[in-house]
Amino acid sequence: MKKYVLFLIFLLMIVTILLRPQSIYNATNPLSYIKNKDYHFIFIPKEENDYWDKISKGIVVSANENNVSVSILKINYFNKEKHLSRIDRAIESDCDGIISYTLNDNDYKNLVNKSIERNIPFITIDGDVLDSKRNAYIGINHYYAGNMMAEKLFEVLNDHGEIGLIMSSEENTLRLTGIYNKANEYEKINIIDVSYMDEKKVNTYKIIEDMVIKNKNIKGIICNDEYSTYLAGQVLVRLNKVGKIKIIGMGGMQGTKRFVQKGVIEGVFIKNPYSLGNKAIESIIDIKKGNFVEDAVFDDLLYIDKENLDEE
Amino acid sequence: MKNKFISINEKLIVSYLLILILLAWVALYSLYTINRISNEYNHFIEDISMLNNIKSSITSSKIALDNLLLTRSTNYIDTIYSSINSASFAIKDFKNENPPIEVFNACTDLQKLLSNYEKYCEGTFRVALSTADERYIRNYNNALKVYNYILEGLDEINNHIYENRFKNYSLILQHNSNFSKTILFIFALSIFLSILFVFIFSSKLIKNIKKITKNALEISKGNFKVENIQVHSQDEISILSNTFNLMVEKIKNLMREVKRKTELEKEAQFLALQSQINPHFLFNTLNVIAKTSILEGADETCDLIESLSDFLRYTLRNPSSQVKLLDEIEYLREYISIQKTRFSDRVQFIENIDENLLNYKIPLLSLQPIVENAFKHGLEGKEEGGKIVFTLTEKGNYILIKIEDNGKGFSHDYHIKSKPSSSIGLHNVIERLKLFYKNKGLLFFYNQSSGGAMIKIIIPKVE
Repeated sequence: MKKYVLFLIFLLMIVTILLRPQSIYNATNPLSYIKNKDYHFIFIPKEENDYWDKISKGIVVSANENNVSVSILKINYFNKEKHLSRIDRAIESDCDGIISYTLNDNDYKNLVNKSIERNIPFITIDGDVLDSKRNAYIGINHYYAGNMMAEKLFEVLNDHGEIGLIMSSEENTLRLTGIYNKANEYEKINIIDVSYMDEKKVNTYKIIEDMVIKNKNIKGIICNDEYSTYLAGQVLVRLNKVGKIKIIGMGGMQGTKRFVQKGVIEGVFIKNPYSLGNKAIESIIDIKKGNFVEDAVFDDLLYIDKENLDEE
Repeated sequence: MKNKFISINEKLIVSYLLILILLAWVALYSLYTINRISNEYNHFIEDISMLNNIKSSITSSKIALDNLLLTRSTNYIDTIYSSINSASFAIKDFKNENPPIEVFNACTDLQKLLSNYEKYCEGTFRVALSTADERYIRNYNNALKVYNYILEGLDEINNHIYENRFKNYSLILQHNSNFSKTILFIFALSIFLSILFVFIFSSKLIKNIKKITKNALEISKGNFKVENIQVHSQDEISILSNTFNLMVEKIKNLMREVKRKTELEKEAQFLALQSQINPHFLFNTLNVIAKTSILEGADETCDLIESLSDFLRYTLRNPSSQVKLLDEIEYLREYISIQKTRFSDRVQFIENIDENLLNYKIPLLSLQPIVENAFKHGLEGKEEGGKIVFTLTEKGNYILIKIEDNGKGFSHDYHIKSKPSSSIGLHNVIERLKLFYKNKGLLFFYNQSSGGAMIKIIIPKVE
């Protein structure tokens, strides 16, 4: 009869293990005491989306590996004023270093310089303020990116035709310059329309649709961010313009890949946000330690079209 | 499990124990869950109240600063410092509470912001108190800005805590729903098993008891023709039924024995009656014959007749009674003397007797038929030289009686039971010895290698 008792106890033990009481114990009890790390940095992303989440992840993982801590000051949608105030808050927080997205204008320049004056290293990520005292820029080369995108589109259009540009809300002058400089090399290429998305990106679909409807002869569109690229694909499908208008844009969103596969979108450039985050943390630690850091650390862009889709 | 004895007691105790263990587990696990939930709730409340404290401290410092600027009075300086101090301590405490890493980092930022805020406040009221104009305004704006940053940070922490706690809460909820399902399942299963156990256990028990009761009733009525009770359980009931079966068997044997005993006694009585034809007349006649033979000078005849008279008298005693070996041997001698007269010198009777054994008991008329048998079968056909040896010796706790003759011995197919009529005396002796000594007495028949028969009787010593 003893074996019945032992069997029941054994059974209950198994049931207990299957119920996983540890899971709620862990949830309600933090496991380890958090210690102050070597440095405390603040990271201010541009906005909240997949791309910036991946950068954040790269930053957090790299920070844990390097025994530093990072606060992330998020804003849901990019808003210059709000973004500036976040950077100011980071400066007033007297942290050991700031990693932030910036735009190339005076407001950002002043803040970056203020940060440097207060002895807080400043690294710009993805967007740069060119003539500020920032310690380093991590990201793609926007001028070069604009150049490449334009070149790809012109190649597809056989060097002639009218094209339109869809820009993000903020003026990305470098990108624009890159595109225009490239366009100037081609006589038969005309940039006939440049549209800007609003802060919350609600108008994106509308501006692309307008651009396609208004300009009957438009042959190509360059989309400068992930979201507009995806929506441009949708517009083409809805307006039955697939194949008549070529799109070169930025990749990264799930649906974009499918559009490239189907030939709706000609090709996309893909950034590696995770490695951007990694590089940002490594660079700012180097700055703190007094090691040499390059003024601009450029990350590679990967071009993807129908042919090399699977290689990604 | 088969053939292993498990008492009813043990069965009951184990089943109660099983239920007890089950209940204890459910109770303990529920306690654990409740403890976790309350822990989670407490943490949540603690966090929120701490954040509120920080917020109110900072707000009161701001109000104090505003009042100071309005009144230009130094009274508020203390309030500003103490409020900021208490906020700073509260943040420190909060950090020590092991918050999630993001909150911890946000607290680090808050501490720095707070010290900057203190600096700006100080700058504001220093300038404000030393000058009458509004040159403090730059510092004041900075203080206000940082003040808003602090509130913003607190809000973020607040949101984060809510988010985190809700995540935990949904985790607990999920766990609890699993737990409830498990408990329900276990309860349903255990109720089902308990009912099954009780049903099987009690029905089996009652069925077996009913079987025993039925047999017992039959037996109490005197009907012993009951079948053995078959019980397939390993508990007290099986013992009870087996013992009951054994008891019935024993009673049956006893009754059979009593019956046989009575039959044998009747048989012996019949034998006795056969030789008891008007004994008084026989004895009187014999006495007259004896006296007449004396008068006629035939002394030998007189002895013979007296021997016969004694022999007959002994025979007429109650056949079921027991006598001392001494009496039985005395009676045997009487018989021999009569037979000797009959066979004269043709037969020789040799006694070999251990005198110490003569006081032990033996059933009446148990030796004479055997000796008679020896005369009848062993010596009757012989012309001369017949010899009967009677030996009485001790063998351990037993008495050994040997009766040997040198006659023709037993024929090979000799079997007592198959010839009850010719050897009714011998047969009777065997049965009575068995009954008297409760099967401990033994009777052996041998053919001796030198010729002749030997009968060995081994009986226990009975005082």
